[in-house]
Amino acid sequence: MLSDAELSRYARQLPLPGWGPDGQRKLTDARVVVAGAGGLGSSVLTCLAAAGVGYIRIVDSDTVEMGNLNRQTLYTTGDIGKLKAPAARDRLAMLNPDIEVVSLAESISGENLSDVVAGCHLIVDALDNLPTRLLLNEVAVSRGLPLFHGAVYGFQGSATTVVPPQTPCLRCLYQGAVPGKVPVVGVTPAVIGTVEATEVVKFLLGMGDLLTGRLLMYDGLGMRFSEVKVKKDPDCQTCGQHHLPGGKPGR
Amino acid sequence: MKIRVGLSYLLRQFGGLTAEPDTMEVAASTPLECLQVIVGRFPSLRQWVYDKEGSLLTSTMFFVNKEKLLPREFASTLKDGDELLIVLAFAGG
Ligand SMILES: [Zn+2]
Repeated sequence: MLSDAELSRYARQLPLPGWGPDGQRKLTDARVVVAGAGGLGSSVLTCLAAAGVGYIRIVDSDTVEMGNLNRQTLYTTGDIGKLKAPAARDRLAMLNPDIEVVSLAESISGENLSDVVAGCHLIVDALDNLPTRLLLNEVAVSRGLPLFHGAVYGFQGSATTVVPPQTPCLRCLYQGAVPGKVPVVGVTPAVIGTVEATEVVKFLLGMGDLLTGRLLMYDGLGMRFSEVKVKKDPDCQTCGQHHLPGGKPGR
Repeated sequence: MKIRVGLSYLLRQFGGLTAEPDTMEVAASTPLECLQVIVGRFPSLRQWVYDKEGSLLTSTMFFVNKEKLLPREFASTLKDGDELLIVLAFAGG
């Protein structure tokens, strides 16, 4: 049963076809980890907390810097010098006190991957570098956890959704990425983070068509969205049949 | 073999080609050959798609008729009228 406060808070989304109290319950019961509380994370976290996702774990080891504030809208000038994960948690707790938000101020590595995703139903990739994204992808594939991916560069963005084991994974898609510090204007992670959050909400509610096997490409300058198909690589180092946990086929 | 080749905005931006049309016609028979022809036409693209030894950078992605190629398909034969899209992968957040 939703409380009176919840009925009031979610009054504009509950009437949506396929939503209602049962749909809202699916969000309340969901446990989600968001890796990265930067530009993409600011957008994803705000959307998921506002929609009523019941448990959100924020993973980020950085501290807030002045140069983050053009795009990382979770933070204020007064947050400069604070750890992002707890600062983001406090901000989201003010936005929606009916949900549980937990912060983990650690950088993601092979050592803490299990802790990062422990007990969560899905993973949001709001990171800023490919190696860590591929680590998250590995744990997503090995545990069968859906992974919601977005990336940005300047006015350009992209997003896709991985649902193992059926769909292509991030390693099927990416062999590398442009290195170096990425210039970003705040509107781009706002768009792409919102796409990721849309995918999460649809997944949790079982609504619509997911971005699986598709890469959404956003060009903010031309103001065009386009999409391309991505296929599973049978020889993928992460999800290919020879690389899945449990050993080689035929054994 | 006439292939219509598109370059992603980022690739055109890095190569200083944003004023160029975003697609062009190329006579070549594989995605890798198409890229060679285009880099020959616009040498400013070279450093964004090849390393110093001339090997393809792993951030270079090819899509044919809106479907991503696996790396082992980069040298596969294209058909007349195929549309090739060359994109630089990015991972900022
Ligand atoms: Zn894969």
